[in-house]
Amino acid sequence: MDHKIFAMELCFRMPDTSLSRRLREVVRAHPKQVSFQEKWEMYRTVRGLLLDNLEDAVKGCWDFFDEDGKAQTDFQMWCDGLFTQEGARAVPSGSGHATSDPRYMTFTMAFLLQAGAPSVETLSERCTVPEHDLWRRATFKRLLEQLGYLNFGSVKGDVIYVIPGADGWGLTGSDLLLEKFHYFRDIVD
Amino acid sequence: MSDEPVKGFESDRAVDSDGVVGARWWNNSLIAADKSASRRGCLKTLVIGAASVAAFKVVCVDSCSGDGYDPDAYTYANIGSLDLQRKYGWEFGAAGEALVFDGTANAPFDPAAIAALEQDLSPRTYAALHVPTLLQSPNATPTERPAEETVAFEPLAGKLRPISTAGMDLVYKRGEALAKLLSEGVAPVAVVADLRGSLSVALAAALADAFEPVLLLDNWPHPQGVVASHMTLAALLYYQPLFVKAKAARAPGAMPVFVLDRERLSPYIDASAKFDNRYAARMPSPAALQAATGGELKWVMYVVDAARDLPEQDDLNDMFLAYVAAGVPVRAISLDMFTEVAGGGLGYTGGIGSLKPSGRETFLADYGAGGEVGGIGQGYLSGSTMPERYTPTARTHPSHVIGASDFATTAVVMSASSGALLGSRYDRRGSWNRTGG
Repeated sequence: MDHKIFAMELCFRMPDTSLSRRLREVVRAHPKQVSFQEKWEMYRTVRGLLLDNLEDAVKGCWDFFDEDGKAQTDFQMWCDGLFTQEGARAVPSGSGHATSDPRYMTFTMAFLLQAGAPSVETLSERCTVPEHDLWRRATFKRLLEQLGYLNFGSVKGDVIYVIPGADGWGLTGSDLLLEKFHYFRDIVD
Repeated sequence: MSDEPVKGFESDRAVDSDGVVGARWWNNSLIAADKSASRRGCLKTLVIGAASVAAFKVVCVDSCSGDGYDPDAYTYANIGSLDLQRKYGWEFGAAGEALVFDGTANAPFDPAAIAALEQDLSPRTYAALHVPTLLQSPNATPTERPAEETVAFEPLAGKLRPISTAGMDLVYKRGEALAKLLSEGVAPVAVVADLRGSLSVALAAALADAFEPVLLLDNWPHPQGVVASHMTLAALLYYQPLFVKAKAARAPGAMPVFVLDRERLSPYIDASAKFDNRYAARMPSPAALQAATGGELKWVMYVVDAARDLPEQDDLNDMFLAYVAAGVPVRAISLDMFTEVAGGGLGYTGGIGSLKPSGRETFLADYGAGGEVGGIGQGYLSGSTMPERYTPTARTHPSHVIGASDFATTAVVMSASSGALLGSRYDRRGSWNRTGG
């Protein structure tokens, strides 16, 4: 089987903790074993939350690669973001107390896809975006909407994660300047 | 019992901490189908066998373990930055990123002029000493692209425009005052302009009627470049009409003005955020310089922006000492020695606060007609505000900048199996960096 990969990560400014709390609830509630339908419904909820709050997204990144080896390697890289570096903070950023400094959260999802499947090929076509539109808010919106048409029978693996995992652990502006977040692009309107 | 896997997904790993919450799931049916195919694939690889040990390792780890990524799939190396740019594109590792320009230019500009820039700036007399590297960058096209580069190549020419700044204007005016001093009663002198690139260009433009510009700009611009040489190109474009006009009118036998970019040795810290497009200046040897000038050259004037820029940079020391040893004195002047004078305009006053009278007499008192008088022999005093006392002195320690093993190189990632260059090690778009740091 050849693979393709689609991944998206969004960074939201957090006026409060409601979005991060809600997304964490969705992830925690997603069972260890799930049907295709349950998987699709979970992502429908996620898409709704992300689209409803897309105006608060300040940075983002999305990838679509159709080369088999790269797709597999990249998927593992996105997984490593959960299992290794990204969530590795041992203490809260900043003072650990509520301050007036802006705080941020990230939501990440990546899909290892079965090449040739119709809904994967449709997603592939939708990911053909002119260079100057790559990081537009409208592009993120369009791709989030397209995920609603993905057949999860053609998804070999998926990974999702939310940073932070607890209130008070939001990312600071300084965190976002760290090298591990340099791949983020400013989202433009 | 059926061997058919349960349809749907099963999670194999989850994390729930204060820092992050998430999990990974696998599609049972596709994993089962893939494992069967992978077993066949591994047997096939073993039969083929001879491909390479590295290839076999990558194939088996990536395809058979079920856990995918193998860091050994990559190898790292440092390669000369200019070589990388010539082969893979001027924006290597930063395709699509913008160049940042300071300054303004309101004059009409024909983009077609960029194509003529290299020819227009090519010296008539000193072609053998000229280093046209920077001029070759705008229209260069790569012969390959990094294996993981997804952004289409765009020639540098499409990103350039002529630019002028207030700093360039001031240097140009001071350069006019210097040109006036060097035009009469002074022995043939070669000028070495060692200011920030765009400012050296402005100085060369001011001298261009009497001195032939010889570029020693040996790098290409880059969106993350340590050396902002796109600003130097923008300045060359700004003065391009003037250079063309001066070239046509300049008398044969004009002495050279060497154009250097002072940023060429700039220090930097963060290799993940900067592209090392630095370089060492290729000043001509005393013999080459004398041959090019027909033996007419009597002295060299090293021009910097301010006294703080002395002594000369590390890459010039050996050659300056060689000039002196060959009987060609090297003197220094800073452009802040030209200030407002009574009656208006700029003149040589020896600098702000100087008590010297302004004008040619003072200049000749400091520098003589051939660089032979003034402060010669007194040596340059560290921290001195008197560039007229400068003369090159042998360094007691080798340069830690030019001598560094990674000077002017860029870290790259290659496929361990194929050897293909994948991209810049620090390109965050690259799969090898997705979660690094």
